[in-house]
Amino acid sequence: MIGLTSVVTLVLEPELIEKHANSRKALGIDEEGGEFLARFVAVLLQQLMEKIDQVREIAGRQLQRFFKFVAPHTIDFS
Amino acid sequence: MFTQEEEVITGEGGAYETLVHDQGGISYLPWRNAAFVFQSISPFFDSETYSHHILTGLVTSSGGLTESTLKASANSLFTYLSQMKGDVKQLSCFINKLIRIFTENLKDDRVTVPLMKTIETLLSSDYLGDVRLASEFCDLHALCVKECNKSKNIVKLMASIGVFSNMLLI
Repeated sequence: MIGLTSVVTLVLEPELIEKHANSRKALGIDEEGGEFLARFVAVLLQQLMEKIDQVREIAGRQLQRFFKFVAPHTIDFS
Repeated sequence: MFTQEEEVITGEGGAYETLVHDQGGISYLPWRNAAFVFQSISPFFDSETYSHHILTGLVTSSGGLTESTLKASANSLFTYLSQMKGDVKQLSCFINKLIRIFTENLKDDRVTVPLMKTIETLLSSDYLGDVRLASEFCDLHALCVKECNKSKNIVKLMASIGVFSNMLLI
């Protein structure tokens, strides 16, 4: 989960958009509707509802990190 | 001879580590606290995009063995159902979401066993005891039968018996 979030965060990094253009295309990040990001958040939310405390903690922190640093530059979730 | 060596706690893992080693300006939130998490996420139970994933996680927790998690998840489920105030349309939509989770995870014991336990808990409460939901219960019944067909897993069979017996009471 940490690895996946790190990869997605790296690909979404505003300063590295050109560098990761191919990865963004492969993941369909720039497609209309933001389906990839919605699925990414949905998977983290699913982990957040899990019964294991540590899984919940990691998922919660990754979500916090995503919404604080990446989401404002990428998509409007409101 | 029997003295225990004192271990130095390095702070690896846990909420304590989160609090002390908070990095990158992310504030501490008690994600380990099941009650806090389930309460915070409850507004998204109706979300078209996220409700399926949230409910998948929730039913897995709700039918689990850990007492605190079970209590918190069941509590948030009951609060959510009580807000529907017996609205058959909303209840039907909720059961259809459970049916979808069941269908997608058929023969996956990690999901289906807690899911059946959750359904049993919900059926034994008054929230789903409406005869107008009969067609949805038929679907659930069929899925339970399919899931338990030729299974020797006692835990799974017991969970399904819980569902069947509670269906008889409706």
